[in-house]
Amino acid sequence: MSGADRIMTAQDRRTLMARLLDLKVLAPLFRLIGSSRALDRLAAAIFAFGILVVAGYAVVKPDYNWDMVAYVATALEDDYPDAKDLHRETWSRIEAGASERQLYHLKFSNPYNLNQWENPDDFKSQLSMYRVKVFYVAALRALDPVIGVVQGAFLLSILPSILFGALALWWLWREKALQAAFLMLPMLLMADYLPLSTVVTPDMLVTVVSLVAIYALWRSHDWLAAVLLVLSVTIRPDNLVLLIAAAMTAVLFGWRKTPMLLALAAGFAVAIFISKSGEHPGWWPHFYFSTVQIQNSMAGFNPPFTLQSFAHGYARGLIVSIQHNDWISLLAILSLGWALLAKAGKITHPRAHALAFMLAIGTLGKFASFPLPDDRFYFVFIAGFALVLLAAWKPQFAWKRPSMTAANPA
Amino acid sequence: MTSLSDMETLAHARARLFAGYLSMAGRRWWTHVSVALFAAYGLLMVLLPFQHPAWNWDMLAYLAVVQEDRVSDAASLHSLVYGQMREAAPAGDYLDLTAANEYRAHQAGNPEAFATMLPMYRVKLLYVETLRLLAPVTGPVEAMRWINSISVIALFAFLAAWMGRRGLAMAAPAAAILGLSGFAGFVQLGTPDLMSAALLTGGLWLHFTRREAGAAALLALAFLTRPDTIVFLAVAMAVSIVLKERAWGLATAFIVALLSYGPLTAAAGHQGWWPHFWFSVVNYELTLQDFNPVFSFIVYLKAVVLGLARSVIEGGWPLLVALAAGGAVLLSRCGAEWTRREGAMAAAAVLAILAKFVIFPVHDGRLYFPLSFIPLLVLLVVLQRFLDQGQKEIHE
Repeated sequence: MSGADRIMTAQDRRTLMARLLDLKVLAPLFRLIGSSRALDRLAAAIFAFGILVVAGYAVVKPDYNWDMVAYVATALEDDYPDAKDLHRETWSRIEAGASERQLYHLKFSNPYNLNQWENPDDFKSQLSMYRVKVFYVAALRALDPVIGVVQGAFLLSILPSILFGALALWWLWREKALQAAFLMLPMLLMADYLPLSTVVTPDMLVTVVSLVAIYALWRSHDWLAAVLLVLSVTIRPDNLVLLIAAAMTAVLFGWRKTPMLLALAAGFAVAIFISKSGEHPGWWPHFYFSTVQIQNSMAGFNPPFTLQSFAHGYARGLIVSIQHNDWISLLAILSLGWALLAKAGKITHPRAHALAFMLAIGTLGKFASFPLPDDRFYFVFIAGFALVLLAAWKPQFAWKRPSMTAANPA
Repeated sequence: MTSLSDMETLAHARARLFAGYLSMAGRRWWTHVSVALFAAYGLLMVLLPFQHPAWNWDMLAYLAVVQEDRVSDAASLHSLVYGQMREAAPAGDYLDLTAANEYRAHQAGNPEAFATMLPMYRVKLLYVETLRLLAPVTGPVEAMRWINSISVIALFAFLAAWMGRRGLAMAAPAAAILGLSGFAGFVQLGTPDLMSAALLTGGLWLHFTRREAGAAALLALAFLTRPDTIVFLAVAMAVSIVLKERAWGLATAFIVALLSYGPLTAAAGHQGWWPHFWFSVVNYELTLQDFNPVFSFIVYLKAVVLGLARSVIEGGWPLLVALAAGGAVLLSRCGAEWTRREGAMAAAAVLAILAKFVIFPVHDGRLYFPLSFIPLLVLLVVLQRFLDQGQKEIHE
């Protein structure tokens, strides 16, 4: 910055502020932004309002995404062993609620979707990648007699979304960091909080369970966290990455080692058992399917491992992440924030550094284990990271009235 | 126990020295990493227009405007432009451009209707002229890619200059914020947005460093690339006047914009605000021939509410503005210092976004770029200076 430029002096600010303060109309506004308690309330109210609007939006505009078709079918497959019957029943459930446009999109918008719409056997072969979300699918099945599997599927995104918001708010309130909600809400929205609440995937459910576990770790309830983390693996087996990060953190930061290591071992066992019994195609075929070339049929699909495809998967993941997603940017900004807060000595909570570390390496580990670009896969980590930092920092926005007496003409 | 206290003093001094050394080393190390990330991101963005081009509908209109001086007949211009696009774009994208909705299908089949769309594109005078200049060398379609690619280089150079040598530690965060503002998506398009953004950013850098003539030139060029830049120039002028900041570079650019706005839009045959508003926000009319909808406040209000909701949902400018506002309050509370011009331009960018949105409540993030990005960049620069001073801790 050129030295020639003048720093805005206290005098400048005072004259501007004095002029504004003279306006009687603005008096209530100044009372508001000068009072920490009022700001706490305002932040909490805006955050709660945001959560409710997101939930409301999800109720009014449910997103009939492709994965939904597969999850509905997975929930129904025990009752319809024949691929044709399953296909027919699944689509009749979807058709009952989706709009013309959504149906067109689901059935015809690309060659893969078209093929799944036309070939029940191929369609059934895809379910091996969905079956592994055992707990989620079981919950869908349990909800089927009550409200129908389709509505149940939306409920399993909307309810966790509200719980997630409530827990975040509770956490900030407990830590007397309510004003952090001013920053938390925009970051959540950038991290795809809204789309995650409207689509049918296990992501919001796994996020809320994980967040309770992270909060338990924050409060040093390691055993509770361990149980929840193992549970989260039954919702999305790839949440194992979080368990690995937690175990590493426990060792590196000198927590009690048993709970996290035991959770990791149990999580691994559960994940292996699930993937065997669900006939999951395995990591490499799934990797190939998701990042290299989508496959119309997963039956007997077993591409040879090549370094070239492997590298291609990562390159594509990285480029699409940078082009269309925000998680890398958010991770970078949160990391910078972490460094600055640490430097300024603002992080005093005994576990804040450890948890920030856990979530930062977790984000990277998630990409390393499976280079998918979409923000939704990183939501647990990014949202958790932001919450941990903000809860530790407790930013205060209350505006300090400039002193009108200490005029010091330069 | 003098000896112990001496030892303690010594230990403290050593620890301080060590910490100082570590932070210096860390700083230098981080600056290198930060610059490397910034450069890598920039390189990726330079390649993006060629490697992953997007095929937006506006490209057809710009192609037509660029070549209308040579082909005056509407029908042959239409077939020339659509032919060029069919050749350049992948089949799926071309289908999308010509058949995805009623509007596009109609434009693909009706040269006369297509011709009525062009005034909205003709006003981007400098972009069109630059395309004309490049077209013989690169071909008209590729020229759009080249402009974006070169604009990325210029933008990154201006950003580096703006942050300055000491501020380069903030280069990686700046790239991250670019990412959040949807930058990669804009780079892929064939539109004047990137070119205008680069010129505007360069103009602001010169404005901050008080090189008035250069600032005037770049800001005026940014206006000629995208005439809606006039909103920012007007707001920036107003804020500068309120702060009693004599910025004659900015003032010159604003006056140039003000004087040329009328003739520019008239010469292009632009339809005027409400018809353009209706077209962009309410409904894509199939033809703009004698299109003159009646002004309706209800329609306007509905558009504002829907546009705002969509901007928030798609993670657009309201979120960036919210973060910038929060950051500004927190930084000021710690005692970070802004230059007058920094404060003025950050505020002007935010106000200009609001003004643009009120005038034209479109959710599309590219229309608010680089305005959505500038306040955050100013924050980074202020933050870096604050850290350099290091006299005050971040305290509550």
